[in-house]
Amino acid sequence: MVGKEVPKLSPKQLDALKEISSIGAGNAATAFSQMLNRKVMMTVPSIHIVPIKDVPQYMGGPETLVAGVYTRLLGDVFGSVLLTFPRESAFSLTDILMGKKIGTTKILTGMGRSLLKETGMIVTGSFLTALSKMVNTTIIPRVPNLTLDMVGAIIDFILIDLSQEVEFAIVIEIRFEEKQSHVSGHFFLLPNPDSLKIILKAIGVDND
Amino acid sequence: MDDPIKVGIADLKVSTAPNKIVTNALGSCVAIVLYDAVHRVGGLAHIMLPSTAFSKIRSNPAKFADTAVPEMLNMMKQLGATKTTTSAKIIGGAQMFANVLVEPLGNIGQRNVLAAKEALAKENINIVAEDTGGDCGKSVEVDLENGDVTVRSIKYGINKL
Repeated sequence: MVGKEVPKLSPKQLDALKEISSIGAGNAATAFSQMLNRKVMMTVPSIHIVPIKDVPQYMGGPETLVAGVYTRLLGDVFGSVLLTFPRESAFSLTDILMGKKIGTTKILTGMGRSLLKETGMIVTGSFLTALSKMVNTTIIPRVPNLTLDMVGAIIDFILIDLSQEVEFAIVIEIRFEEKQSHVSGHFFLLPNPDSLKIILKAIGVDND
Repeated sequence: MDDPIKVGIADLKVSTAPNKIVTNALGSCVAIVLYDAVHRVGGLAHIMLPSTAFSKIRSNPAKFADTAVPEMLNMMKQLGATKTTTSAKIIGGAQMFANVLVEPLGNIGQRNVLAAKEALAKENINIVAEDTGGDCGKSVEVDLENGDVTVRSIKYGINKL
């Protein structure tokens, strides 16, 4: 999957990838719900294979302001996970986690930042635990980082990293929502192309 | 006036007054702006990597600092620009998160800035202004009427170069 060609995934491979991502999402939703003590819904994952330069479009547009929690993956599966929250959602989430009335937080403090990072770690970690069990491989998440900025700027180093080898990115996208306080956001997994091969092989669809 | 000309990631465009060229959400990428104030011709490149040595896919000159500068100069020449009346401004090259990328991409933002400076020095183009480094995203608009560059960021608002 090195080079300029669009990586080809058969319908069966796409289904399999969607299936394991759904299980990961289910696990993540459970962990997130427990953390907030409220019901968090996650959508069926969508999988986009897009030119690197178009990736910001799939994350809401390059200038969209988000709180982004970034986790780099090491181990057998390399890649990136980015959790994005619209600013208002990040504030509401901080309020819920600190037991405050929704609307209290207007700016992210040190405490708010570490709570959002912890949320990122728990949601990402529970997704990855499910994924690594299914593909029977080691995935090590690094310590998450948080920033509030334009999504295009937050992710361009991920694209730079990918652009050394390929011209296309695989973006696995899951939307989540907590209806009561209107907390919503996106979970993005961008596996490196070689890691995608490992995943497909592990679930037995590498030759389909 | 027409809408501003948009430059994507690993993309470059040149044009003439009174047009405007914009690029959005630079993180570690760098915008190299060239402007010939006499002939009122300018260009903007949104580069991702310092040089072709960093990638297996090298066909797009707009992706690398070392190839984007000569390419842009060539295209500007076709519109009547001359090198001796052209100057440069560079923007971007932030490090959004510390210590995330490993070698050879460690602090890639700073490397992109250095590579842009080298590529410009090689062509004897003066850098008259820069807004580089830091840890926040930036969007850039170039006004080809006068070469003014407006940099917008969440952290610092508007910075005129």
